[in-house]
Amino acid sequence: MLRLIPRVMAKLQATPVADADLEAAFFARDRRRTLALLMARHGARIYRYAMAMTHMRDVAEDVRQQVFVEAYRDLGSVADPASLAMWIFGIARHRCLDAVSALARWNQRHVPELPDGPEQRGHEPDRDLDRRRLADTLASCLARLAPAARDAVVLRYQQELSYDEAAAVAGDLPGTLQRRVARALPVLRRCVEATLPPGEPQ
Amino acid sequence: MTCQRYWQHGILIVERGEPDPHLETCLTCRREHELRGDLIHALPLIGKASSGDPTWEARVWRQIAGLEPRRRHWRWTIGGFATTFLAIVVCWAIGHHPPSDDPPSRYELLPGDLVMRSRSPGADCRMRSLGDRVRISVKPRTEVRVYRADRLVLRCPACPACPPTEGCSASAHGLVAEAQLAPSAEYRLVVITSAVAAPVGQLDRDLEAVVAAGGDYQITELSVH
Repeated sequence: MLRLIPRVMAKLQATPVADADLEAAFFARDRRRTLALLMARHGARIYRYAMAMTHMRDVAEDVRQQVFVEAYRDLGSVADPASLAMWIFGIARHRCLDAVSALARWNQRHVPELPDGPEQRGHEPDRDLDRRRLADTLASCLARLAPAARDAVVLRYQQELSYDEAAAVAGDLPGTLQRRVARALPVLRRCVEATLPPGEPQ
Repeated sequence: MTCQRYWQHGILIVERGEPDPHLETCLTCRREHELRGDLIHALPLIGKASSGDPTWEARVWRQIAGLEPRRRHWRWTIGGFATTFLAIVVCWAIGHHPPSDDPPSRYELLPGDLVMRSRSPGADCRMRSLGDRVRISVKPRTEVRVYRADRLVLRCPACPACPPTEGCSASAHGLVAEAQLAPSAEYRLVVITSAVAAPVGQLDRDLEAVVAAGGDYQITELSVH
């Protein structure tokens, strides 16, 4: 599983921030500079992940903020700068699962809050609009999955990790994630079918 | 029509990355497989339209800045508490442990030919005569007892409410006990600096009782011949 880490990180390190800068800041024990680079590199991705997991903009924003505050606090516990991406993504995953549990508890006690609806946008070409609407609908439907299934789907298809890579992040076996995804996708399909009006693209 | 076979069994084969020959022969399942492709291609778009609050990084820094002064604040608070505590301990120690050169009692021998021998450090030895008197001045809450041949002959109790006793009188600084050194015998002046039970009148037993009660005493011996 350890040999997967560089590949996972290569995918996680999508934002063009030079590794050398990050390593230099890390080894100089410049926590502020290190955190600034981490935010530039991973901030958007973590927000998207949190958004897919919680489907609530405010919660996703809070998760992102909490992740980087925790990262700043615990930066000293990281020995190898090469593992920073995996480490911070692990924090994000735990905070998202915490948020999902908290939302579930809240919804058990109170009237469930409707997840954020599709965002209002200006004019878009029809094809893009269809894909956006499908993505928005999917986001709502994801929120109805069990947290473990949602996590598997998001890691595999929203974060676009392979099963081996997603298993490395989640600490599960690839086969377990495959079964979770295989059970979750029909649920998503039915949810989309029930949500989008007939004739809408699916 | 939905092909149940695909969503119940075929999907796992696909997720495992294994080939499913059924897809090549079943048009319905192939169509369902394409629907799966649509779902999967739409999933990465979740959240892509918005990158969230553009000022989120500033909020992170603000929260971090809010944490750091609090730590410094706690350092100062702990330091302040420690200093105050030390000051209280020092004051208490000074107040409860007076300097050793401040004696709890003072003896005064009136003229006469007597011999005084004291166990208390620094006490002097002087020759005095039979029939002289000894005066003992002590601080408040201190009891004085005078034993002759190990028998109690005078007790000046510490309690202010105790009935007046001959030979005992109050002074501005505490208590004054005065006893005549006659007849010839061994006299022992006992000053007890803590409250204890009433004596039975025999030196050894009374001192044992003082010690057993956790008390402290100072004894001075006088040989009068």
